Amino acid sequence: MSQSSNERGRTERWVGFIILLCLAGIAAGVYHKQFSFNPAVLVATTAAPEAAKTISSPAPGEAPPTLPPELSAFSAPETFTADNLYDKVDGKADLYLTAGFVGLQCQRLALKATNDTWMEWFVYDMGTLPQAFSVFSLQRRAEAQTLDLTPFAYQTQNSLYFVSGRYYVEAITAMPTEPMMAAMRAMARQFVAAHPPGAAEIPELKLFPPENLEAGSQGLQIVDAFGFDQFTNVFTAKYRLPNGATNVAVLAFLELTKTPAAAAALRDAYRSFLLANGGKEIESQDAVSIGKPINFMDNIEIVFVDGNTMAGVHAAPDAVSAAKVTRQLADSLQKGKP
Amino acid sequence: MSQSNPLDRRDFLLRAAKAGAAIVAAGGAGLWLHDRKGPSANIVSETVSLPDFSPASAGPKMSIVTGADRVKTVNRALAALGGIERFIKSGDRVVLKVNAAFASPAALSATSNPDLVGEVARLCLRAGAASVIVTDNPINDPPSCFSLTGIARAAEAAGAKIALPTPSSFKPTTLADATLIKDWPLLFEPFQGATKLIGLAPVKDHHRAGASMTMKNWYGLLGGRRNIFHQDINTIIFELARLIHPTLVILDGTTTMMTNGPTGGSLDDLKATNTMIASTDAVAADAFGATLLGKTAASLPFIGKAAAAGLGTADFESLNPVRDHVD
Amino acid sequence: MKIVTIRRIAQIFFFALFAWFCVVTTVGDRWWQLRGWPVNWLLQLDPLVAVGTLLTTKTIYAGLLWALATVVLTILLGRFFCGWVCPFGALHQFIGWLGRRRKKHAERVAMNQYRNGQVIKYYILIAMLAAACGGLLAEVLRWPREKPAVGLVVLAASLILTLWFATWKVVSGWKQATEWFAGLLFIGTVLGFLVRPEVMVASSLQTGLLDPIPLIHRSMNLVILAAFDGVATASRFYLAAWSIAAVFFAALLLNLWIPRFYCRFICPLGALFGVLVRWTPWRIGKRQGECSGCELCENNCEGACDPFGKIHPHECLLCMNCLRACRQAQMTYGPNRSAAGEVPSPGLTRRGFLTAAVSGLAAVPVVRLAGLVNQNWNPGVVRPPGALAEEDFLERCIKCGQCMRVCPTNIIQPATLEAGLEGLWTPILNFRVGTSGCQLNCIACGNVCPTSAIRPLSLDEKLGRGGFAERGPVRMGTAFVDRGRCLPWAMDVPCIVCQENCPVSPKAIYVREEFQVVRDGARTITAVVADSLTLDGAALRLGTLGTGDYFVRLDGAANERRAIADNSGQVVKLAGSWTAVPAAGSRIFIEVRLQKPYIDPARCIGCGVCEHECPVSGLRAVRVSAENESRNKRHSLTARV
Repeated sequence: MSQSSNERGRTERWVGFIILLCLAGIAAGVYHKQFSFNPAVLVATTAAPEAAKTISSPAPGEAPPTLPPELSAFSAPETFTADNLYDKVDGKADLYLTAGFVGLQCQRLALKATNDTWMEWFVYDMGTLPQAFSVFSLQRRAEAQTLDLTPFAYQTQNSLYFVSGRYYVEAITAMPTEPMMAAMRAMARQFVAAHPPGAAEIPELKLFPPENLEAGSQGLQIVDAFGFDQFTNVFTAKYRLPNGATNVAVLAFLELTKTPAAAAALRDAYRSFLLANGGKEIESQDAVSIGKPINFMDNIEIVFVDGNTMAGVHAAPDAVSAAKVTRQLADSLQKGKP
Repeated sequence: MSQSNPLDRRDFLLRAAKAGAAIVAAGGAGLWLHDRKGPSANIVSETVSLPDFSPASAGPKMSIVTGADRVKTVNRALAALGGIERFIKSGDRVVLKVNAAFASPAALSATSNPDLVGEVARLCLRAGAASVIVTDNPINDPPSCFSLTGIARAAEAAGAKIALPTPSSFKPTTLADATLIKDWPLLFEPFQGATKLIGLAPVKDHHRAGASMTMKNWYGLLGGRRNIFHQDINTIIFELARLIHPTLVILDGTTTMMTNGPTGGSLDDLKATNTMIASTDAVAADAFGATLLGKTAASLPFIGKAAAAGLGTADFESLNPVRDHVD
Repeated sequence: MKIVTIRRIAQIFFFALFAWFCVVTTVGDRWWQLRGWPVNWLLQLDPLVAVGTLLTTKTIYAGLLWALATVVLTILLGRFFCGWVCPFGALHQFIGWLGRRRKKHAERVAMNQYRNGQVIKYYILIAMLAAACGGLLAEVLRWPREKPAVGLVVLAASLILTLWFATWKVVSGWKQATEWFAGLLFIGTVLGFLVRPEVMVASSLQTGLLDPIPLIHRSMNLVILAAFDGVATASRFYLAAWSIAAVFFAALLLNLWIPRFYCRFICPLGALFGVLVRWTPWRIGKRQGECSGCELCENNCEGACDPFGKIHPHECLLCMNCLRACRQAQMTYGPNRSAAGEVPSPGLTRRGFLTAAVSGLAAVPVVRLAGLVNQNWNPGVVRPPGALAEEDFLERCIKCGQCMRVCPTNIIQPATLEAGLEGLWTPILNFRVGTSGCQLNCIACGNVCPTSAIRPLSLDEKLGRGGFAERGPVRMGTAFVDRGRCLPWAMDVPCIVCQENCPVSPKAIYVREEFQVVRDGARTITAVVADSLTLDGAALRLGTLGTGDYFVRLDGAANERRAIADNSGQVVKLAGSWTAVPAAGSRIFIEVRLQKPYIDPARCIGCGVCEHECPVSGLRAVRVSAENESRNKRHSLTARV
C-alpha cells in the first residue's frame, strides 16, 4: 500500500508539473497575443491625431511654401480637393466649390522665437484671378484695413487676406502679437513674389466710376447673383450717396457678355425675372432713358446695356440715387471703351 | 493495478474507441463547419426572376372595342388580335394578374371587374389552359379584397384558382441596372410553373402617378413596404414594365374612374367610357387609356420613360389598332 | 505537490485571467487596455457558445473553434472545465467552501448527496438547444415540398424502417434510437408535405441566459466593473444591470444552501459536458466495491456525484477532493470504472426529454407572435453598428456584454424587453445614458463580439469609403426632429446644437433660416432717438433681445432688418443705423432669427450624437430610431438609398 501511495505521489507530481507547464504556456500565449492589436485599437490609436487618413499628402507639383526666416513649420502641410474640402471648411465649402475651387493647401506655421505662437496659412487655388477675387470679395470682413500688398488685400486684428494671381490666401492666428502679424505680412509678401503675376489687376473693376465708390466694396459673384440664376460673373461695387445727415447705399453691377445681343437678352431676362417676382415698372421723373426703373420689394432696380456689357443698379433705396448711379456708370462705360 | 482484469481492459478499450470516434466526429464537423470570416454585410437571399411571357408570333398588337357589355367587348377585342388561341395553348398554366387592391364593391370600379375576370379565365380554360390562377397582392386585407370585389366568386365559378399572398409567397428579385427594384420581394409563388401571364387592369385616375392602368397594375406583384416607392412613382412603374413581360394585357375602360383615384369611393367619380383594349404592348395600351381619362400619354412620365427604353410605343396609332364596336 | 493544490492554482489562474480580460476590455493601447488581449478566449473555449451558434447558423465562427479543444479534452478526461477552468465554478466552489466550513462531517456529506433534481440542467440544455434548432427544423420541413421526389423516397424508407424495428422486441439503446429517428423522420416528412412552415418556426439562441461563461462575463462587465468604474472615474450606467445582478447574486447565494447549486442543478454547459463524458477512457472510481464506509470522499465532493456509492460519472467535476480524502487510498482516477458501480446515464426520461425539446422549440414561435422580428419591429431597438438583421442577430447574440463593456461612450446597453423576451440583455443603443453618440471613428463593438452578432467592421466599411464607397456608411437608424419639442421649431428659441454636433461630413443635419415675429412683437414706435426706438405695448423683458438673434423690421419692408443691440422695458437699441430713419408712429416687428434643423436621410447614420447633445434633456427633441438601418433593407425610409 505504501509503495502504491508513493507511486501515486510521483504520478501526481508529474501530472501537476505538466499542468503547471500548460498554465505557463497559456500565460505566455496570452502575453504573446496581446501584441497583435485588435483592429479597434489600431483604428482608435492611429485615427486620432489630425484625422490624418482623410487628408491626402501634398500633390507632387506643389511644393510646401518657402518660409520667411522668423517662421517654422508647426504641422505637416495638408491638401484638400473638391471631394474632401468639407472636412476642412465644412460650412463654407459650397462658397468655394461654386466659384471654381481647384485645391486647398494649408499648414500651421509657428514663430521661431516663441514656438507656441502659431498661425494657420490657407492657400486656395481658385483656378483664375477673377475666381480668386470672387471668394475674396464675398468674405470681406467688416473691420478690414487695406493692406499694400496686392490690389486685393486687407488685414484685420488677427488675420490677413489677399488675392495673388489665381490664389486666394488666408492667414489666421489666435495669438495676434505684433511679431506674429509682422511675420504674417512677410510670409504674404514672399508668397506674392513667388507666385507671378502676383499683384495683377482685374480690368472689369476699372469700369466702375470712382466717384462715391466705397473703398474695397468691389465684388464678383460667379453664380446666382441677386438670386437670378442666369447671372454669371457679375461684378458689383457699392456707392454711398450723401442724403441729408446720413447716406444711402446703392449697388452698381455689370456683366460682360460675348455679344451685344447676348447682353440685351440677359437684360431682358433679368427684367422679366424681377417683374415675375412682384416687381413693378415705375414712372419716375428721375428715370434715365437707357433703362426703366423697376420697383422691386420697395427697392429700385435699373438694368441697361452698353455694347457687350449688361449693367445696372441693384437695391437702391430711391429712384433719385438709382438714377444718379446709373448715369455715372453709363458714362464710365462709355469712357472705358477702347 | 487492476488493469489486468481482461473484462475491465475490454471495457476500457471499447470506451477509448468510442471516445476516439466521438473526437474524430467532433473535430471533423468542427473543422468542416468552421467559418473564419463570419457573416457578410448583406446576407443576400437567393433572388428569383420571372420569365419573359411575351408572345413570339406576329400579328395585330392592339385592339380597341367599344361597347358597354364587357363580356362581348373582351371577346371581340381578343378575336381582333387573332383569338385567345393565339396566346393560350393547350396545357398552358396561366396567371391572371388582376387589380384587387381594395376591399370595395365591384360597382365602384376601383378593382378589376369580376365579370371580366371570369370571362377571361373561362376563355383561357376553353383554349385548353391546364390551370388559371388569379392573383394580386392587395393593399387591404387579401381575403376581404378578393371576396368583396366579387373577383373570388367569379374566378372560381369560371374554374380558376385564387392565389392569396402569404409571407412565403414572396421571393426577392433584382432587376439589372435598376435603381429601385433591388433585392425586393416579388409575389412569386403563383408564377411557379406558369407559362402565360395576362394583366387585367381597369382605367383609373391615380393621385400620385396620374393614372393607374396596365403597367401600374404590376405594382401589385411587389411585396414588402412597397409604399416607399411612392417617393418615385414613375421610376417604379417604369422598372416594373422592364421587369414584367406579359403575354397580353387587357385594359378595361368600360367604366373609367376619372377622379379621386385610386380608391374612388363614389359613383360620381366614375364615367362610362365603354371601351375595352387588348394589347401585347402595355405601353400602347396605357397611352390609349390615358385618353379615356382626358389625359395625354405625354403628361404621364412613366409612359415616356417606358417608350424611351423601347418597352413599347406611346404612339398607339402606329400599331394600327383594330377598332370595332359591339352593342 | 498535491493534485488538489494544482487544481486550486488552475482555478485561481483562470479566474484571474477572466477578471483581467474583463478589466482590459476598454479601447486603448496601454497594457491595461484592449491592445491584443484575447478577451474572448474563455467565451471561445465554451462549447455551448459554439454548439448553440452552430445549430442556429450551421457555422462555427472564427475563434469559436477553440471550443473543439475543450470538447476533445472533455471526451478524453471528463469535466475538467467545470472543476479547473470555469471562473463561475471557481466562485461557486469558494463560496460553497465558505458556507460549509463550520459544518460537521455528516452535514457536509448530506449537502453533497446526489439529488435527483440534478437532471434538471439537462432539460434546460435540451430546451435551449431545441430553441436554437427551429431554423434547421423549418428547413427540414421545407424540403419535401421543394424536392418531392427525394421526400417520397425518404418517406417510404423511414416508414419501412420504423415498421421493421417496431416488429422487433426493441431493447438495446441504439436500436431504439434508430427507431425513434426513423419514426420522427417519417412524421417530419409527412408534415413537410402537409404544412408550410411560415417564418415563425425559427431559431433563437437563448443559451446565453444561463451559460455560465457569458453569464459571468455579463455580470462582471455590467455590474461589478461598472460599480468600480463608478467609484474610480466616470460613472458607467447599464439599464438592466439590476436584473443581471439579481441572477448573478442569487446564483452565488444558493451555494450557502447547497454547494455548487448552480453547477449541479442549472448549468446547461455542465449538462453538455455531462453528455460528452459518456465514454471517457479515464475516470474517478473506487478500487474495491466494499470499503470502511467513512464517506470522507463525499465530505467535499463538488459535483455531488456520489463517489462512495454508485458514482454518477456525468456529474463528476474532477475536483479530485475525494482522492486524498480517502484514508485507504480507495479512490483513483484511472482507466477502470468504479468497483462500486456506475450510474450510466444522467437519468433523463423520454417524457422529460420530449417535454423539454418541444417546449424549447415551441417557445420561439410563441414569443415571435409579438411580431417583433416582422411587421411589429420596434424602432426603439437601435443596434450597434454592424449588427446583423434582427433574426440573424438573435441567432448569434449570447448576451455576454463584451460590446457594452468596450463601448467607449457607454451607449450600448443591455435591453430589458425592448427587443422582446428573447432579446433580453442583448445590446441596444441608448443615447441618453452614455457620454456621447456612437463615435465616428470607433469600431470596437464588432471587433470584440465573440459570435459576430455584431460584425467586425473596418473603419472604411463603417464610414462607407474606399471599397465601400458605393454601399455608403453603416447606418444604425435615422434621427427625427420632434417639431413639437425642438426649441427653434416649437418655442422660437435659437439653438441648432444638433446641427453643430453632427459629425457626418457633409452634415446630415442642415438648417433653414427663418425670421419669426416674436410673441407680442408687433409694435408701434412712439419715439426715435438716434438708434433707440421707444415702443408701445407691454414691457419687454430687460436685456433679452440683445443676443444678436433679434431684429427690428419695419412694417412693409420685406427684408430690411436691424439687429437689436440691447433693450430695456420700452426701448430697443439698434446695432446698425437705418438708411431712412423711421418716424414715430411707424409699425415695426420684433423678429427672432431661427435656424430650424432638418435631417437629410441620405446622410444620417443614426449615430445619435445629436440626440445626446440635444438640450431638451428629458425626452429629446431629436431622437434616433431604427428606420433606415443598414442591417435590414426592409426598414428603408427612402426609395433610393
